[in-house]
Amino acid sequence: MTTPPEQLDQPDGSPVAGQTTTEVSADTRRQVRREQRRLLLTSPGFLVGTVIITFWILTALFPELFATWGPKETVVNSAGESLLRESPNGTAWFGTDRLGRDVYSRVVHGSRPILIAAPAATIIAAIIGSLLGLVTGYFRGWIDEIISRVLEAILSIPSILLAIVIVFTFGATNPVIIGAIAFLFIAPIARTVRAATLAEAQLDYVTAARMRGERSLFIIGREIFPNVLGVVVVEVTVRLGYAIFTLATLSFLGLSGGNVTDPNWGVDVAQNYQQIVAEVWWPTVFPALAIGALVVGVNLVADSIEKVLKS
Amino acid sequence: MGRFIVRRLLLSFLTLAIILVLITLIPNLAPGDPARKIAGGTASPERLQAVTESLGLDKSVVAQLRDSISDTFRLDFGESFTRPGVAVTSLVSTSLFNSTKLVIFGMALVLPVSIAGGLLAAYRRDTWLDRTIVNTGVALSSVPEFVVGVLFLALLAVPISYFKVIADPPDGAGILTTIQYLMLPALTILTVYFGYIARITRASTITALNADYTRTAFMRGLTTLQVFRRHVLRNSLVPTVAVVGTQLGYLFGGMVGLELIYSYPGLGRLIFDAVDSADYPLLRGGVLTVAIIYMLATLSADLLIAWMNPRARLSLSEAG
Repeated sequence: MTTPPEQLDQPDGSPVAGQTTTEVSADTRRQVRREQRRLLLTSPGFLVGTVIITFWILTALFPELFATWGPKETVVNSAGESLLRESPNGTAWFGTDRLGRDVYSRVVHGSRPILIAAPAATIIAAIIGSLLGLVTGYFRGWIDEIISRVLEAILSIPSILLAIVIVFTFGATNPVIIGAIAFLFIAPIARTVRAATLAEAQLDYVTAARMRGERSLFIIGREIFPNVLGVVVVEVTVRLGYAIFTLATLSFLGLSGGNVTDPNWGVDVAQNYQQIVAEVWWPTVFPALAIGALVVGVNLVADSIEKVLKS
Repeated sequence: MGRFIVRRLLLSFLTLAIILVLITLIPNLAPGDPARKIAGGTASPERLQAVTESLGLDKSVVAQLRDSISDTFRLDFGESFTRPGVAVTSLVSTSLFNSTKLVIFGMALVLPVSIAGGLLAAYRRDTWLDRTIVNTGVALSSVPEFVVGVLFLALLAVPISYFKVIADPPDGAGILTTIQYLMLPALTILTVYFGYIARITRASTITALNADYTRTAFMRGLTTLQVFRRHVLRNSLVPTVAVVGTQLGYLFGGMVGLELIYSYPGLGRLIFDAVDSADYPLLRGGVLTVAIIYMLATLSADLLIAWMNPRARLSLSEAG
């Protein structure tokens, strides 16, 4: 029996109907999934989180629809004078920064870089991390020992520090930043998936599949993977929150893939926070709140998913 | 227990060794000439040579590793690039001292507040108070600390003169003045850790509240306060404190954004400055110091947990 690799990850985690799944268990599974979906859709945390995330995705896709000025444009009044450090008002809703740019429009445009890089890094980490976790958890042995120790070592340094070191060494470009975060998140994802795989591999259905003489690839992909998918989903949503956290922090530290004039929440906070003592708080506080809102939104969703899958 | 300690110690050293290898290998893996990148495009050949030598890139990888190991054991990471003649070790130890000061004061604030929050949530579990504590905690701890830091600057430091914008207390400051200066970063640390610690306290307190000995204590007619003091607290606090230990390492060095915002000269700040000025020896010394602290913190926390809970000892033997 061959296993086409593209069938390994069915989006909803349902195993492809076949000799391994009887009709009854497929029905129960569907029922469980329907119940989970209902729980999720009625959980206030999930709904609030989804609304926040959807809003930022919309601004990332269509910033022009929301923005009132260009992200690098200087706000001018009717007399044609540019308005620097203007507090929030009717023309510039969130005020203007020290270069006279509209803070609101920059906040709107700032969602795109982070909403591209964070999911990209998370997906890369999820794929590699899940594979590593499945393989090491299933086969164990000395390769597992080595990989597990290396992952533990990576986990034992604050990830922001390692990210700084990697980005500094390889240069602050978008691919490096995404790659660095993906690299760092492989470790926690692999550890979680490994633990789940280890537990699944002890169960009877895996022994039965082994007895039937199924190939390891089949057992891992078709038997174990669907059963650890819930763990992967939770881990990925949690990591997405951390990816946004890390990206924002890196750009606050000046390690962003773009130019300093590009709209970027972390960079904007870094560029303006020193003016807070001069009571010019708006160019800092609004992008900071944007970061906070996005991270909290993602975490609300992650938390609700985790609760539903564990109940 | 002895077997466990030996295993756990070996694991720690292995972890440190792997980090050492990673840190040593990184400049070798970098594309192009890292020395050129660090020294800058206009650097003189002598400067370039000096940078190459201090990165160890003129030697084989094996020789680099050997040097790294010996440097780490002797705690001697050479001289800083940006401040020639100043030993990295002395810069690192100053920052380490500052970080320790902040961590101690931060924890003195964080532990009682978060534990009280967790106890309250457990005692009033499944009420709006419980949900508020847990959800606020989760939301706050997911936000980067620099975001909370700038919000505190705007909300607290500007309107209230008690709070200091710069966290570094002047030399010879008394304890009260030091606390005043450290208050804002400590409050920021509180927002980062509150949710985490409150959640653990809540969980272990609920377990203790559901236990038979607690029910018996209530039936014996003890007041709630007495039951908490004599039976619940001692069973729920020790695991909490132990778990906090595993997180302590993050406070040393993980708080880069926080230390930057409040101009606090801690380890995170040191590493950031090292990156900013391309001071590789300083960077290596800083990162390895953080790794050692992290290792010691998790090690002592694990030993504490194992000492309290024999089952934890078993799990390491099985997994290892």
